[in-house]
Amino acid sequence: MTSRDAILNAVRSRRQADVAAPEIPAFSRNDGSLEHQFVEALERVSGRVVEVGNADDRQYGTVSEALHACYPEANAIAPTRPEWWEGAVIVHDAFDSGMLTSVDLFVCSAELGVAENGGVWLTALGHPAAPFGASNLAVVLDQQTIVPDMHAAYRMIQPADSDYAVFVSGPSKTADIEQSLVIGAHGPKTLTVVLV
Amino acid sequence: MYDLPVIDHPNAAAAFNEDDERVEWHDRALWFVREKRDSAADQIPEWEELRELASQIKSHTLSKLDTYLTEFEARAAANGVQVHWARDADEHNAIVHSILDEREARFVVKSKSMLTEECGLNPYLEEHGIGVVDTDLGERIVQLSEDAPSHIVMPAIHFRKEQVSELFHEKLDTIAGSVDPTYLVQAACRSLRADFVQADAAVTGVNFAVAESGGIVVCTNEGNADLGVHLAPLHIACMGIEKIIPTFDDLAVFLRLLARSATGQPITVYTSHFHRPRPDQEMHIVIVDNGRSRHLSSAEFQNALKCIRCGACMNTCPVYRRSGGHSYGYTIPGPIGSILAPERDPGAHASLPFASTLCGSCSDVCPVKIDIHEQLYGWRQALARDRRLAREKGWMMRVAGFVFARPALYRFVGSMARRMLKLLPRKVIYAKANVWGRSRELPEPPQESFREWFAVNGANTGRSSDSTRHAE
Repeated sequence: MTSRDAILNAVRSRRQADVAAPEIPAFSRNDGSLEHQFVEALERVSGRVVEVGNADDRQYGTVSEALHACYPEANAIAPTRPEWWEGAVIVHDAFDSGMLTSVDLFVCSAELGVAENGGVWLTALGHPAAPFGASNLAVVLDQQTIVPDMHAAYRMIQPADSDYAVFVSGPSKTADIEQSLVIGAHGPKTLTVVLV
Repeated sequence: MYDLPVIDHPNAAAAFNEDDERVEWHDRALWFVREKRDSAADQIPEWEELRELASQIKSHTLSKLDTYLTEFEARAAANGVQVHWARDADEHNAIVHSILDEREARFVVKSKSMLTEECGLNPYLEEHGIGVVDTDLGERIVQLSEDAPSHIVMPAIHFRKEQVSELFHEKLDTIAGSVDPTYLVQAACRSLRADFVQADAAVTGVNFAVAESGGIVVCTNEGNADLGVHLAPLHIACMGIEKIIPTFDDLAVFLRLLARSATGQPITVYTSHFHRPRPDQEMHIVIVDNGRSRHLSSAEFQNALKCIRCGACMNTCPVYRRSGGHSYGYTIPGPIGSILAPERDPGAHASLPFASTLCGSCSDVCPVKIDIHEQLYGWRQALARDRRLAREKGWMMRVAGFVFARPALYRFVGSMARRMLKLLPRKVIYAKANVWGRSRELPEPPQESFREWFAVNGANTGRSSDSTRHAE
């Protein structure tokens, strides 16, 4: 008998009586502006948010302007779209992995944002190592795509459509040395969400 | 006649307690994490409902585990992922080894996986000439110091920063005496970067395996699992059979509970969904039983299989906080460890269910509502029935049973004790045999027993004429 059969037989013969799956309710909330909650949640985990648009109250006119302002010292920039940083090398899946670890700033777009935790859902990465190898990460997010919570997020996204996809909430961090929080571990040390 | 426990929690805990200052620090640090969990939970009005849902989803899944396992396997295989099954730890290690061997992989980076700890994968691979580097910073600290993890989420919580500084100075050439955490973290990350780039394979754990898509989800704050997998030509993900959940809608419930319960964060920095390998990469999943299917057969104890490895029970447990993870002598310590370990090996781990005050705090914070404190009590009964109590405890219980069953003897022993406590010198009362009195004062012996008092006063205690009788 294969191990597979042995295990499945063991499980089949030993499991307890059937229990029905519960129904997961839609948790409605009316907490005000989703954008405001998203910004608050992200800032609480050391992320930064800048706003781009034509209205007077927007900080910057274009994504490119915002990125240049936030990362003036960056040299090796790898965006997934050329209009975000003139002259930069576009990330693609044949990228040399060594190069990915010497990128100062990686820029990509998010499919949606989650207000309850400041998370952004990244699917179009060019190369999956890009958002982890780079020293800094910037994500362009359409504020209309911010949803209230993870239930709403999973109702909208199709994780299986991507070989790899990830929710990112803030820059990488660790508290493994005597519980002192250090921002910047293996992944990027900053995360900037550019809200458009 | 008795199986003496191999891991004796009280003795190990006594060793930990020799360093008062360290105990205080450990206690405070963990309680602080519990408080962060509370703040996070308080911000979710539906928190208790989420816990109940998570518990029911797990019960449902366990009741149809074989169906979900086969569904998961079929979808993963359709995604081009190779799925393997391991009956036990030895088979798991052999499978991982053979996958590595076939691709001549000699150097592996590994992100956090309690399952691989349970199976002893690292020493096995090293014995077979394959180098393994643990990339989670806490686990790396533990690995470099050739120590063992003491907490499932914060494996190096038992290290002070001075110890880390000394360790890194020795192994990573950091400046002697520098205790700045940022400096130390950066040094470790620089060293590990080189390992990521050179690795032939990346081994990861699995936080959740989603049956409806065949995908696996890995949650980290550091990004080490991702960096490892995305730079390596081979990805091996190891999971216990109980990691399966049915759908992404279920996943949402667990993701809202996991990080808040573990560290008080709304979610981990990275929640990675792996479905298919890169075109230039191979992906394998090893599904492991190692005693889990046997655990399923116990209606009383199977709920422990719902565990999502958040560590909240450890953070709140007064015994864990003041005895440290190493006192438990099992891969997974604390309250959940104390109900998992005896299932695995009741002889070796008989002292663990007694390493508890049965306060129930663990059950209060468990995101999947495992009745931990009830199972701790259940295990005590099971161990006593199987005559696995520590010799002194078994003996004391039988003496107590003998006395309590004989009312006249009980009265006599009681009155002797009250008299002796007043007459005997302190040195005799607090002799070594008085374990309870080691760090506590015994109460003042009363003048008379309740029975004696009631005989005189009982019938006449101020009762008004229309007071009602309490039904017994």
